[in-house]
Amino acid sequence: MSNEIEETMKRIQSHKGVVGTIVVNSEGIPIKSTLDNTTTVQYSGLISSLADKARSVVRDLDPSNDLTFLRIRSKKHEIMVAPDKEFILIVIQNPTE
Amino acid sequence: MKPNDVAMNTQETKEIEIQTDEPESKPVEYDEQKLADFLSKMYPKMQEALDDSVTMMDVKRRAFAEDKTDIKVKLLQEIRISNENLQICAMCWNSTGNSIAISSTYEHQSWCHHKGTVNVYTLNREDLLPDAPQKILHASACVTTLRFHPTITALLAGGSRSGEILLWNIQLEESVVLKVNAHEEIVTQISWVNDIDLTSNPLLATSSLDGFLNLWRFNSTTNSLDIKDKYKIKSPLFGRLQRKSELPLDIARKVDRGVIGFDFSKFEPHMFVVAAEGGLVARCSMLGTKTIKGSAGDCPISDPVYKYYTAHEGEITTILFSPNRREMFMTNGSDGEIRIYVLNQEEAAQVIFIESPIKNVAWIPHEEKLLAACGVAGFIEIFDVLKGKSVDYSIDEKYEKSVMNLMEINSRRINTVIVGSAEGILQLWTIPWHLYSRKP
Repeated sequence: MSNEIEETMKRIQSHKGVVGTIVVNSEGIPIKSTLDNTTTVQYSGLISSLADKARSVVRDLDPSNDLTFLRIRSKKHEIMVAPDKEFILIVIQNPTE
Repeated sequence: MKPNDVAMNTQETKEIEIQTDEPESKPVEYDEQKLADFLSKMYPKMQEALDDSVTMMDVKRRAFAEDKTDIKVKLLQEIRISNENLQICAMCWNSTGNSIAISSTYEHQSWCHHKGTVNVYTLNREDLLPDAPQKILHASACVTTLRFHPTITALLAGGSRSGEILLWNIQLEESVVLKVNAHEEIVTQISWVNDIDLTSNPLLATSSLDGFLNLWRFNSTTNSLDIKDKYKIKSPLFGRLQRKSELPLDIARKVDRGVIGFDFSKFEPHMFVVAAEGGLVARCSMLGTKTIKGSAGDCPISDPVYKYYTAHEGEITTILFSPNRREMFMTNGSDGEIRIYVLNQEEAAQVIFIESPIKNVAWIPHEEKLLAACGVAGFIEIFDVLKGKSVDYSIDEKYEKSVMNLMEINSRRINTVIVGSAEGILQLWTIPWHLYSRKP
């Protein structure tokens, strides 16, 4: 079981340009991460509240709709956020590497 | 505490060491099966997104590499306005940055006997000017100043040598919307400015050598221009502000100086700066104006000045507020000085001394450190505001320099600049301003 989890995490992490992968639970607490503690905690808190806000925007505009994916592109890298009911998958990529 | 107390209310503290503990991380509980399912569900989507952004970056990088050739000052196009010896005296881009109106005139010795012509060009698909203008507008005298309306893209206002204000709608067959005999003398500048009440439509401000700066309300339903305020700029009484060199007799005799130019602040709509004959610079406000005694009638004349600055030794060619800094404005005089003023200071904060005469200066939107100028030197000069010096850049050796009268930066595409030369030639330049603001 845990093997499968580690396998998928490794596969994501080995993708071109991926800097870090974090899995967060519904309360915004990090469960798995390939980054150091401080960075993980920072990303977890900020991204989960942003994902919550994004979801409520989508649902407010159309209650039958729901957020499926969120991408934040910045000058230095891109943050991909895949939310679900119980967890959120966060991947940070530097596409130029 | 008694008001005369000298002692402080803060306590002194001493520290020897600081120690923070890492917050103890409690092991978070989760369902492993659920997590495994979640990850396998999300992985394909994530993979797609990761691949997508990599290819996106490659495409961008290629596009950027192609653009590298455009990152320098380039003359894109030159067009001759007409065959005769006309000078370009007014230019204005419209609010979308797609069209430009150009007025050309002959040299005048005294009264203007000519018919005024304004050519309107619209950029074509390659973002270049067409050979012939899309529209030609006429006026009873040479048009000295032009300004497109900030929101109504087809509405163009012009002032003529005979003191007339014209409004055209360039999209209509019968373009003239209205004509008003606004001033007794040549109209020096026309601008659309915001009223103090920002929710109402922009006002039309007009200035003339007759000494008046008028504010008009344009009513688009009745197509009429109604006077709102009339201002007159008086010469300052204080000797220290008068300039050292002698004023030409005809100006010195005037009580009310002719208004050469003005600019209203974008940030504080009531405030404006005025340049008058004799190098006079004054700061004015729409609020707290003093009504001039003896003026009555439907529109009383007021004195809006509340501060005079030291006059230029020559005549002023440009006066403009900075679009980037609310407290800054600049004046350019024929005495070879570009002065940069900061509102709460008496004297100019920075003076740039120029070698060859400058005819027109412009601020660059979003680049608070730079100023652009054109004149006798024949190329667009860039100045660093902080250093007070010009920024050097290389120009194509093949470019033949000719005296530049006017320049207008396209408000939507800041790197596009149109220049009107003294020989009736229009030049379209592209200038990557941001490259020069980063130079050490």
